[in-house]
Amino acid sequence: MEPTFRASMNWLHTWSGVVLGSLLFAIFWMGTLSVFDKEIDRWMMPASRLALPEQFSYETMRPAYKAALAAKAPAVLMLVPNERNPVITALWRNADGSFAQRLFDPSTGTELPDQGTFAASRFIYPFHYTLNLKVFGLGYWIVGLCGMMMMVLCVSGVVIHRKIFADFFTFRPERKIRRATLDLHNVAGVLGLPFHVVISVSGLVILFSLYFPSSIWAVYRQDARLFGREAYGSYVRPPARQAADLVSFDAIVAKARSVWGRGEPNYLYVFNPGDAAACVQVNRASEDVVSNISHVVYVDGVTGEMLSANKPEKPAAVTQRFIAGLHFIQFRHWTLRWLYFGLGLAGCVLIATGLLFWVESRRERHRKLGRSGARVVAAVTVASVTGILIATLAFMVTNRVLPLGGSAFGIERPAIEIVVFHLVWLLALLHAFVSGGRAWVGQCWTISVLALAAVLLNALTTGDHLIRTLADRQLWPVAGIDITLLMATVIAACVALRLARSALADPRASQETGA
Amino acid sequence: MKIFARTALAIVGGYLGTSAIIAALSMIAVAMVGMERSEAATLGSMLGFVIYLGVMIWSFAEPALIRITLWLGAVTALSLTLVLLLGRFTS
Amino acid sequence: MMIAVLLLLAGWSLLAGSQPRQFSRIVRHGHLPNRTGIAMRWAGAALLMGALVILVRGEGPSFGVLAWACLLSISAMAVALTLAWLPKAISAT
Repeated sequence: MEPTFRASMNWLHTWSGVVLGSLLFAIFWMGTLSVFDKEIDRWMMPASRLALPEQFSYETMRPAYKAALAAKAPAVLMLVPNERNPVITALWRNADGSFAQRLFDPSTGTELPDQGTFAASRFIYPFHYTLNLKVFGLGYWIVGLCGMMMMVLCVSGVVIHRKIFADFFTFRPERKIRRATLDLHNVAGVLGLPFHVVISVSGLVILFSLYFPSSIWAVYRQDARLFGREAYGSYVRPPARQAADLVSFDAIVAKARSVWGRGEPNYLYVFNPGDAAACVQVNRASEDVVSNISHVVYVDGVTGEMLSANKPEKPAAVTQRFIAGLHFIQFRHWTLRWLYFGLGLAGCVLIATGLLFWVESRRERHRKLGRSGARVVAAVTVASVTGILIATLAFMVTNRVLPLGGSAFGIERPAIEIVVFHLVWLLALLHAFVSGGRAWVGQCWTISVLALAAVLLNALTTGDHLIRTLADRQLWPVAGIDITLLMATVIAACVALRLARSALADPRASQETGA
Repeated sequence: MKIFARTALAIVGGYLGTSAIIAALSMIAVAMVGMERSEAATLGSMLGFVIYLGVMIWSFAEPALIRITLWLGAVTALSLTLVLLLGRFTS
Repeated sequence: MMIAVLLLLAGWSLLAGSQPRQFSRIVRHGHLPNRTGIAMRWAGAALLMGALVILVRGEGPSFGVLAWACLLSISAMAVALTLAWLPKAISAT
């Protein structure tokens, strides 16, 4: 091993960065998009671009409940419409175990036509914390390890950075690409350090009982399931096997409100629907506090009486919910939401420049030694940075091109979008391998074109062009996505031009890319 | 090869060691400090991330592989003994 | 909120300017006296703290501190990026 602490941290930073950088970039990119998951949902599900009614009656949720009842679901989760998500969403498991999600109009309660997409909440967001690998929960563990390694990278990065204060603002784009890359890596890393550390820790702490269950096993022994009940006051009761009608949803919410004082619920979770032992879990929306605290009230579905109410008040549980809240951003604060988005992008820049620096500082040496290491990492870096951006844009473009209810080769519409995402990602990797150093320019142009195409297709297929969406308050989420896409178009084009010009200006570089 | 062993030791050994330590810490908190069960478990798990980070950094910084193996093994064994002993006393 | 952002940008600019290397980049061949540098550093730090006070009073303690921490990073990055292109922009005019 290396002789000094700093040298060994340098080794650790370099190699864990190269090995996990691509995965980390994917996780950071999907997480950054998840900041605006509901807005992407609106963009990808045009029928859900609705206005909230002035006075929402919880009884409007009755048809959603009836639909779950008809499907013989053992439990149904109904999300209350809000500013970011102005539809009633009902989620349940069918009798055969398959998962169902339906959307309902917040004013009339009628079901919206199936939008045929997993959009952000069921593709991008789960990708962020499971990579959509469901086998044995493997995805959770890979992402967990990446989260731990991100902290290791932060610590070792600080240790190896000698002149942390002297270099605080140093970014010299006029220097050689290798030096400029390292400068940018330092600026994004040092100035964004609090965010990178907090976001990695909080991401891990959300799933503490999955990642470190040994303390729960040790304390609870055989009855580890009691933990949920004691820590968060969950309440369960078996079905009575006797049919009964549910009382009015307005009455249930009124009961919950009498416990909270003020506030509205963010979801209603009906257990044993249609049964005499039906019970409704009502959770207070935590949009006015940072903490993602759950203040739940259990109401008897048939009598409307309160069964149990609970709110975490013990210090460790409260701390855990606060840290989780830092990560979940379920609070209503648009400035903070945009700041998280910006800092998430800074995290992406940090990881991308780190990978790029590794490649740039070894390209020459590896070429002389005839080693393929730098070439392979270079291609993987291109594919994992610009490649995933292209794949995401292709996902959105496909969403606007496919007709509702369309299917091909026996694949349903939502699955086609996901197949396109992965296929395009793979193509980006192949392209990166084939075209070597020129791949960056080509892929930047592709991003630029696809982002513009997405905006145009949205205007064409839904009629919601920018002038209209900007004028209408309820369409602002769509306008936000379109404007961000247009900005991506411009930035990607600028980067492509700049890269092409520097390749021309520096004959050594162009020779290299040509080789 | 040595690098592979070190990485495996840091990630897998570090994880198992950390799990044992937090199990022992949670039990101590319940049995000796009188903390509530759910609180001790939550606190223990959250501390796990910090301990694991420290163990990982240390196992890449410590030059002698054998020393890492011995220390991790010893702390894990001690923690597990504590868990067993305290479990017998409390139940 | 806007005032806090301006304070942060000004604070970071002062802190950056207090570093002799950055100073000579901005003011060509300029020499930064030691005492001025220290004064600029204190003033910069004070402005950053001022932004924290404004945000906590405007947004409440938890949201205020969180917004301050996020803005602190973003505004510092903005200053670093501006400094990167500043010498070029000055010499162009």
